[in-house]
Amino acid sequence: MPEIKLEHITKRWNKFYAVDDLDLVIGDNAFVTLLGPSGCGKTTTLRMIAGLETPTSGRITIGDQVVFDSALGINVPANKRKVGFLFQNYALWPNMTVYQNIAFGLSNIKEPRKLTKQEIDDTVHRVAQVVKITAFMDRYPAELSGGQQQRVAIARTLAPEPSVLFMDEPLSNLDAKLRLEMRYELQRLHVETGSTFVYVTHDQMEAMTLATQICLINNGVLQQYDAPLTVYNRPNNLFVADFVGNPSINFIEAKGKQRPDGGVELTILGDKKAVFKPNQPLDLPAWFKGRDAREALAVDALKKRAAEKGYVEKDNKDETFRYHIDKVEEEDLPLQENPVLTDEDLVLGVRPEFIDIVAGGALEGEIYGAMPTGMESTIKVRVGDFLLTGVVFGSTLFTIGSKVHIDISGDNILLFDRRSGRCITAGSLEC
Amino acid sequence: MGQSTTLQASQSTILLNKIKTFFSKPHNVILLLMGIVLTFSTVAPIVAIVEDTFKIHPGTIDAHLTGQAAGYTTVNYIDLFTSKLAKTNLWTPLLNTIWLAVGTCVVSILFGGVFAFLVTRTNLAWRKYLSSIFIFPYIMPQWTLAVVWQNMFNSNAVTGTSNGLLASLFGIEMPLWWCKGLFPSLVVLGLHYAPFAYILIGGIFRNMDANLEEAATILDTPRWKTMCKITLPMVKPAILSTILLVFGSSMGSYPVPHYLGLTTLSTKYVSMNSKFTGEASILAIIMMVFGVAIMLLNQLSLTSRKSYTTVTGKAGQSSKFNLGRVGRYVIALALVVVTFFTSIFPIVSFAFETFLPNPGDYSFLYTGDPSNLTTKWWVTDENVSENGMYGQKGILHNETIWRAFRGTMLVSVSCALLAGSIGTLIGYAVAKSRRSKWANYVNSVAFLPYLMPSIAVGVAFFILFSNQYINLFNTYTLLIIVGTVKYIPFASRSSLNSMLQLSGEIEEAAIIQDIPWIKRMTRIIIPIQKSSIISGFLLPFMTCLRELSLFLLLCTQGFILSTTLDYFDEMGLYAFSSGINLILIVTILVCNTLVNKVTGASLDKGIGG
Amino acid sequence: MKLKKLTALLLAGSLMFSLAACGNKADAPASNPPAENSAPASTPVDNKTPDPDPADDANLTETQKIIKEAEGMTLEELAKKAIEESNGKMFYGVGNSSRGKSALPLFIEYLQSIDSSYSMEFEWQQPKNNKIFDQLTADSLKDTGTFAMTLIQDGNQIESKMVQTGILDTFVPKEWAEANGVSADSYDGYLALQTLNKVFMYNNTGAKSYDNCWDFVAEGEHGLYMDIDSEIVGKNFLYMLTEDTYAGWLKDAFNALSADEQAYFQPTIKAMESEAADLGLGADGAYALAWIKLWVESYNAQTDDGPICNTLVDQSATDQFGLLVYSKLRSVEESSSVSVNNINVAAYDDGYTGIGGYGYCHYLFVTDNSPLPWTACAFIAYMTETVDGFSAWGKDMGGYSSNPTVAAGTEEKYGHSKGGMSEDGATVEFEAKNDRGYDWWTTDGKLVLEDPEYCASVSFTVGSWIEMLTKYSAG
Repeated sequence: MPEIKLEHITKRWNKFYAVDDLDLVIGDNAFVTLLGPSGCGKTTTLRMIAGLETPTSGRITIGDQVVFDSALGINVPANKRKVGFLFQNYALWPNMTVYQNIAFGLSNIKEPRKLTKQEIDDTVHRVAQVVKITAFMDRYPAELSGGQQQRVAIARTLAPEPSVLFMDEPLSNLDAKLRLEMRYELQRLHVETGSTFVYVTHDQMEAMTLATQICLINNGVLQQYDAPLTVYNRPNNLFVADFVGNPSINFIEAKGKQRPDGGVELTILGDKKAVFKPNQPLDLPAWFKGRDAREALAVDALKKRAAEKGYVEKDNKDETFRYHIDKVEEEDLPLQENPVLTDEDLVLGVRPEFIDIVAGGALEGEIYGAMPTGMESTIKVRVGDFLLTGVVFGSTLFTIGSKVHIDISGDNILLFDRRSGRCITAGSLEC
Repeated sequence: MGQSTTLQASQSTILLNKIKTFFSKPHNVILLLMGIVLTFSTVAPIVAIVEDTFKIHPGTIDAHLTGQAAGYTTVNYIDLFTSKLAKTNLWTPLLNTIWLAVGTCVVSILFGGVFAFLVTRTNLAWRKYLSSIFIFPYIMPQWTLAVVWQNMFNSNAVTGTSNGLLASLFGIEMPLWWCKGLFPSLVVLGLHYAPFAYILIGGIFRNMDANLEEAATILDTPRWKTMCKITLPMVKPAILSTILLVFGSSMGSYPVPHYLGLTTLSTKYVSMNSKFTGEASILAIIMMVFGVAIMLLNQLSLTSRKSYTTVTGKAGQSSKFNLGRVGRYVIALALVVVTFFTSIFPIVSFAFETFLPNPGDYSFLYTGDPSNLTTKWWVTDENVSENGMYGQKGILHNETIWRAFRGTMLVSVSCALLAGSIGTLIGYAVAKSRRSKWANYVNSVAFLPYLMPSIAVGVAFFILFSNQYINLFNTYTLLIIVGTVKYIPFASRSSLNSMLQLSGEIEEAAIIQDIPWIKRMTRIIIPIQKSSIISGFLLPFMTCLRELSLFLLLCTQGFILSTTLDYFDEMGLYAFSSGINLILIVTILVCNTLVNKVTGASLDKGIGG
Repeated sequence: MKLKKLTALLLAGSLMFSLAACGNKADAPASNPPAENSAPASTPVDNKTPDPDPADDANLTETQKIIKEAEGMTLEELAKKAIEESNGKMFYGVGNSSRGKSALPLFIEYLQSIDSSYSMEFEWQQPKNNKIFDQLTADSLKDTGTFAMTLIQDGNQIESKMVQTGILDTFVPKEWAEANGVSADSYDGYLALQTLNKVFMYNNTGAKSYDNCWDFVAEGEHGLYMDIDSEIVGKNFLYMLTEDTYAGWLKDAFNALSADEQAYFQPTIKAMESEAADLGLGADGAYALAWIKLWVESYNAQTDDGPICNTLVDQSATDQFGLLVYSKLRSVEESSSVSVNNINVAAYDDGYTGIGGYGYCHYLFVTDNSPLPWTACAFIAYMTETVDGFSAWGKDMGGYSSNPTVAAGTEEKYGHSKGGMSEDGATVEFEAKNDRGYDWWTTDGKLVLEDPEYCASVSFTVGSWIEMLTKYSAG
């Protein structure tokens, strides 16, 4: 069973880098989701692996076969890569019935031998049963509902039994209920077929729930490639922290220095004092030194690349993620001058579930908004000028405007470097 | 040493790999092949005709001025632009040509556009009938309307000929500007090309999201303002495409200005050809320059829009303007009358013409005496006794006509098959690699011949294929080559448009399953887009059937039906020419109906899409 | 399956294109005619190729040698050579007259009467407009041409484009020469098959009459005439008017006009005097130029003589007139509004003064790269030496064989001089259709005859002057 390996894959259209120097290994039998905002390059990546798009440079290996190598000029066409592909719009052939749609690909199989009519028929019926569409075999795609079309598309993709299955936002055209249902089916299929699944989505929930590994991409650059919970709990940077999790993580700007005992003394939320205690021993100045060295290295590497022939400047520049600070009076971000950042400028990341409303909480605030769903309530608490989002389980009713006290609990509070946006460490916060 | 050889080896492997990759994609192969072939078929004639302008032709002005019988000279250019004849030979015809082309565009867009609006956006009565009758003038050879015009309006008092129908029946004598020259030429050509405007503009009207207009209506915008500010800008692209198609065609039209006595570049080309051969070729080049200029302008407007925007929209309820209970019939009746004269009357008059004792002899109409009618033009089966047949046998027995008919069918069918297949493939390949410059180039170069005036294209190919190695004058091969090159745009355009509508995933889904290219084309892509692809075959066929300007200079008179028709028309044997016209029209109608019945595609869905 | 065919077609198409493209490339350096043709091309204008010095036999092309030999043979001897050469082959002819197609089968029949096993396929092409010259020029580039011979009009262009360039060779049949009292060696004109005449006709349903050729260019007159740019022989007519004889005729006709009629033309003639001098014309040149100027600035251009004829014979065409091929009258069918009797042939009127029309020739040539030179010679001889051979044209009025014997035979057989008589042969039914014949036309009828050499010599003097005139345009 194959392992898929991408090395230095770059795809650009003129000066636009859709995918920038991507390295990725997709293990056998994995269920990997490519996650990211629209236009980040995830679909392009998927199509490049499938062979529908030609990378500008790099190398792709499926199993032990190099299917693409720009240096060697190798490019195995999509039809020889023996993969399955499920398209966002299903791409059912409108001129064929459901049966024909599924059988057409099978009738073309020549290796190791041509399938007999009976074999084709059996296969079609088998996959049709898997996705429960046996009742519509004689209908045309136009006569099916979205969910049924989706199933037909899956059946068509599964019929030749591909060992790798690519899916491009297959559920995005379905309504919420159907989508949830189909997620379970995909999960089941992954187990039943034992194939490697690569799945593109912009829905972080889908990614979290389905995948064994999440590959988070932004602006064509790989941000993090880890198991879903790792991505959630230990995001690499501000972008990942922000993108994953619903409701979104709270960012709190902080300023301060490390004390000799390891704790970091911070000023947060305007004038509040707090101390961040890292879980692991931390040498902040050393971390910054390491950061600077890495940055210098990156600049050097870029210079080197720029000197190479055929280098094209990246028009869609990589920038440190502009996190969003939720405030009562929104400031116009782009109008702000870029402040001069020092090593004392830090950002705290607090997941909503770590904001607790407790009677004796250290921070004083008032309820700014509340969204009860029954199972839990998402609330916004105003602290000074700032707003913090929290999740409270149970059916508590909150009155808007009422005063509350909150605490920031737990040891999963994240500390980010504001300049590079990178996550320094996790720890707990004492207000 | 050893290192460098391995390096070389690997380099050649890389190259080999790259070539292999490139050719593994059929659309690359098509683009490469078509790019080369079309470059030749478009550029080679142009080169040939440019060369001709510098060549000395014995017995013509250049030989006279240089005193040489062979060699090269620039004297043709100097003489054409600077001699005392420059005004007669160049500037006046050029001006007339531009007026004609512009006027034709205006007439066809106004007439076709208003008609399209009435048919698609109002509750006009008898829309179906009107819609199908409206495209008739395009089906008929363009100069037939000119001949009808003459038969209608000529009068002894004004044009110094015998009286036409209007003068002899009602004594109405139209003024001269109405009977001859620019005005009738642009009206006739405008009517001929109005179906283009109707199909293109109507297409947009049909698909236009009515919400756009409704939004304006809700804001209490007056109807006319909605029309000017919202509806018209929406159809602008269609108007531009119409101009693109009509301008070059009307410019290169030879027969209409020829019959109606207007001197244009194309009629001047023919008249100058004997004594000013080289200078005539310059006129052809000037016409080509216009074609290229139009294309570049179009290219410019395309890039500014950046994408192939097709106005789609949900097939919601498009609001129809209410013409009023009486209005919808009154306007419909007016249109029925107009289309009667542009579509039905010519056919009736052709039929009638074939029973007149002498060409244009309408004695029967005012005497009512049936002895003033004859069937001799149809049934005479010998050409020995001279009974006013100019040494010809009747149409039913005339081998010249039937041989020309067979020739025309051969040429039309071949052109349709070749142009249709090549155009479809080009449309497919271009749609597949839209971003590549080469694809754009192939698309443009395939479209270029359409924009170049027919007569200029004909001239260029005549010069190209008249040499000691290949001499294709008066061969079907030549006509088929020229027709194919000229008509590929019909197919490539409709194919490209339909391919662009087709999501790339449809084919990718098949690629992933390792379905071979040929099967993808024949089983998936062509069946899905069959109606526009078939119209890519149908349009070349019909246009070819009645093409004259393009073939005029490439074959002798009895070779194909249109040249035979023109010959009889020039000779004044209107019975024969009318008979041929009838044969052509019936052929086209039969074919259109057949194709329509079998495949569901039809002519009025085709052009430009 | 369908796609395979499609691909095959496509391949064939591209092959053709690539072939074509090769041809084009190769074309570029080959603008010079083949070496054997370059000699005649550079010879001076007045020295005709078919008139080579006997001492120059070595310079003759293969075809010219055959022609020389053929000029000593009788029709029957030629026929035998032709049978030998072309039995079972394909014969291509090209011509301005479609009648060649009717003449060829008669020729084949004739050959079969000598050898019954003889057979030959043939194709006769009639190119449009002026294309015959381009077609022959293009064909001449090949080593062996397609066309065996041609029947061609417009002496002017034949001289400059075909004869001086060595593309066409004249063959003078022996018996034709004898009938005309010349010999092949001494005769240096072209071989004409026939003379055709374009004559002035006017519609007589009104009161107007035309008794002088100047009436046709009088104030407010618009003669129907084929456009001189589309039918070049029409232009040759105008060239010929400047020739001394015909200019003299015009002067005589002018003198016959009444004084007030003369007064109208006088200023124009006066104005033309300096022009005539500039163009190097003779003493009466001004009369010719004046007539030409008035004609070009007044004639109503038509696409062909057919429509002109159709117009004139209609009773509504009151007071219209035209200059058109006489033979068109044969095809008029009588009806309530159309009759031959609606027109008069101006020259037939008593008291008519001045030129009656224009005569031009259909010439016969052998192409210099003729694939079947013997057959071509035999066919030419057949058409010019026998009544049957000429019958394709002779059966109708208005075409006069260049061979007096044939002309007499044709008249005897078809009786065109009584063509307008009713059934009984005595009552005049259609005056205009009684063809008075070549001799009458060239003398009393005052027909202006085309002289290729003269036309070619003035085509860039008088010709360019005519181009400068503003043509009458009805639009």
